[in-house]
Amino acid sequence: MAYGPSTLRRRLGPEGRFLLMAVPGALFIVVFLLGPIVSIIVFSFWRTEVFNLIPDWNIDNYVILFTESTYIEFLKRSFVTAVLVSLACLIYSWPVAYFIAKHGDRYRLLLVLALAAPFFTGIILRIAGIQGVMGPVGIVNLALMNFGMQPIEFIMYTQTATGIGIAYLFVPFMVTAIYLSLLNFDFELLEVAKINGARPWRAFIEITWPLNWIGTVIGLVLVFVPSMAESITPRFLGGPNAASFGSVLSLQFGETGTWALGSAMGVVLFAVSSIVIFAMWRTVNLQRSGFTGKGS
Amino acid sequence: MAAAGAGHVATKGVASLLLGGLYLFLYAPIAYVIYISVNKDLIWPFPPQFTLEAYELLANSSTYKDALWNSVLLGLGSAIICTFFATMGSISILKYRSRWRGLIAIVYLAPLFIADLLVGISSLLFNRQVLDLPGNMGSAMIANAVHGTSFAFLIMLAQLARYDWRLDDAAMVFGARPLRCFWEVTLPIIWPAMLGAFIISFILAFNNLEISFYNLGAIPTLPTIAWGSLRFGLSQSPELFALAALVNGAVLLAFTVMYLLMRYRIVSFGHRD
Amino acid sequence: MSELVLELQNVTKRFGTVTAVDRISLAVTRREFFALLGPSGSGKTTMLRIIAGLEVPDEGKVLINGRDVTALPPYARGVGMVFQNFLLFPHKTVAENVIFPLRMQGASKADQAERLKWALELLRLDGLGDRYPHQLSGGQQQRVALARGLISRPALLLLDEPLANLDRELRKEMEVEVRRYQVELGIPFIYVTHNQEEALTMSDRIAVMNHGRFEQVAPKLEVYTHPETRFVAGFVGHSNRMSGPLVSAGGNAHVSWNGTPIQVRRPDGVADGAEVDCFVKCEKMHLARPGEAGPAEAHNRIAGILRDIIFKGSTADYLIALDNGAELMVSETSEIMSLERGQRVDVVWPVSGSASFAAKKA
Repeated sequence: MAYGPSTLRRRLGPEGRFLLMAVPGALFIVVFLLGPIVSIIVFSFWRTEVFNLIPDWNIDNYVILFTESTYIEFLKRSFVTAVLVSLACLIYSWPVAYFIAKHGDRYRLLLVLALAAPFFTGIILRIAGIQGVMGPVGIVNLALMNFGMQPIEFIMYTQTATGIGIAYLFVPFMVTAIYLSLLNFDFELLEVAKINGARPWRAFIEITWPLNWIGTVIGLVLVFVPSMAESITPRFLGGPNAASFGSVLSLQFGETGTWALGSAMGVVLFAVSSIVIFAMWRTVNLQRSGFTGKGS
Repeated sequence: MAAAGAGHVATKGVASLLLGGLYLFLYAPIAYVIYISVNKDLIWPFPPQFTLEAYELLANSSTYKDALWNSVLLGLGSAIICTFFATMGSISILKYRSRWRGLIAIVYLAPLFIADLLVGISSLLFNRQVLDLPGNMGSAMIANAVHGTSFAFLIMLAQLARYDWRLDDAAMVFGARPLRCFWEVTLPIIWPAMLGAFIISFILAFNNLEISFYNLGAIPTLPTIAWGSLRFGLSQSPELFALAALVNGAVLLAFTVMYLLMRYRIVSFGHRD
Repeated sequence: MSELVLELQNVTKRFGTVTAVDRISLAVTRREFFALLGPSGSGKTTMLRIIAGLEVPDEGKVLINGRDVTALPPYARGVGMVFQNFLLFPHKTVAENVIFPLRMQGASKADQAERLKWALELLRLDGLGDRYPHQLSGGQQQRVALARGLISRPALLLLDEPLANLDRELRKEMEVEVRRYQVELGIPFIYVTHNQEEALTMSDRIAVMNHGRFEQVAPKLEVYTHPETRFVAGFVGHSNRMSGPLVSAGGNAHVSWNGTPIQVRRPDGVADGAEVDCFVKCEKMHLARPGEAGPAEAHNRIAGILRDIIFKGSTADYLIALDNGAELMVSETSEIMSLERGQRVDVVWPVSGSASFAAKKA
């Protein structure tokens, strides 16, 4: 027994000890993340009969998804919304994150935690809040009507309202990702650029933007992926008829119980997200991103 | 020179306005639910008539009480799994130079890039069809922990990046066995990171709807109950406002504690900067 | 009769394709201050970590006080260590840091208190026990690290570049103190450094390491005056290197250096025509005015122009541009001659001050 640990040490180098510690968690994630994804890929080629999956291999689910115009319409709508929301968050978050990183001084941590905190209240309660503020009978519109003015039409059960709601849910991801990137960015490089004759905008485009592109990409992906799958916001802010791909997908697992079709929709959602992630990652050139390979 | 200075001030001004706007956007709904929760009129609470009826309703509702207990249980179970795996993962990645580090990091972070809804429905089918598990607390804890581990891992990585692992070498040379070394040297230094990871993963699972909903079977949690109430319209469920106010308050409190801990940490280990 | 404390037998450690420590054997006795000197990447720190048990060697044995500890983890070896950057536990006070090894051994409270008092006094840390490491100066942190290394009366103390992070003044002071502790305690110190002055000041014996191998293991004076290999000759002390093919003339060996014949001692097993590196320590060379007689044993004399004088206090370095196009550095006492830049001088030195080796194959 006394020789147990020492003989183990001889057999396990640093590599072995690394794997001993890292593999259990990785295995957990692989089994309970990859396992489910692979299983819905399999089930998407099956058939459902009264809340039961039948291993009767076919591609009918995909035929339905890509021929019925409503599904294509939902997919298009969710995709466009997700893209626009991601871009809006990007444009808004950059100056905000930059301001905190550069001028936040000793309040940086407080400022950024305050931006991250609302995310953790959970989707439902956050939607309840934003619906109460800017829904059709929300406080903003009621106030306008109270003062004898017209309510703001474009946030009354519209796709815009849905978009604002989704942005409300996920904008903290974007700010945090860009902020963390800027935190590791050496602002003195800008001084160097300016001393060498670059104007502020030029310095931003030549230095700041490329060196923080990874953080930006991570932010874009972190907003895009859940926005694309969003199923609840459209229902409460977009109105009774404003379904999204996500909300139709969740219907397959609720009221209708058509799991095979739902699986196929899940696979499509996963595929679209993966393609976007892959395409975004292709824009990253590690050599030119200031990435040193060291977790700083 | 003067023009550049003025431009700089203007940019700073615009940026701070944007920052203020973002806080307003993020916190107005929170302020709204807290304000409504203590008002009689849920629709147009002006002039204010303060009452604690909503909180009484909430306190007397056995549904909400069960749901609260379930949410706490779910949060605790998931947070324990997350913190455990995230601690092991982050330590291994930071301490050892292995050629597998990149792959392991990708695996730990992968769940961040998969939507909750997708995790929810795919875990439901996987547990049911492949593992033959019914929807229950255990399967919901696991499904939530997959997501939470990524967040916890990120937090641990960020906090532990500054830890000098050679301190462990020093402890070992002076006679500390691995467990003793972890207890005496590593843990006292990394516990704020572990606590941060625990709090975040607890909150995530506690408040999660889309993963929990599909994996809990018929067990109610606060978010699933809230979702049910919300479907009947906000004005129908005053206790929802009370709940939202309390959850918001708790989350903000947790973040305040974390903020203070981080400040404290900076103070106590400032010699490293 | 001195007893053997540490013994390494054919120790080898590889990291991937790199052999960090290559078949090293070594014996260190009680009361010995042993320095491991080498450039960075030479494997000296890996060797220290193998002795401490922080690395497990691929081959070979480590014996401490005659006991084979090769397979033992660091916590079962009973050695003390002082790390680079000190590695004090930031969350423990000075006293808690210092008694850490005793607590791990399960020493009694009374024993801990007594030893703590002893260690703090020895290292002049009285009154600092309740401070945290970050409240101390660099020199104080260094002393705490030493106290922690010594408190458990280890079989031997390993020191990994302990003075590298101190400024020059403090380092000079600590060099003397570290040596004093070693003499007082009577345990061997194994001292890793890349700084030859530290090694030469403190140690009894020096091992010069390069590419994972010992180039020379010898008392320090011998390493300095009689380098055994080309690497040691170039690495220890400040030397001039003169390279060229070996030629024989009149019974003496010469190196044709930029066309100038330099009389050398013939290196073993080198034939005429082979490339040879001849090293002469700067202080073994002397300056003479043209025409003036040099020291009695001046086998070599080359003329040149004084290019620069680098004043160093009691000595000065003189940079001479030779007529053959090369340069030489000569160390002399600074008041030897009233020389001025641009003046013609001769450089003279005896053959006995030189060491020659076959040149490294290109």
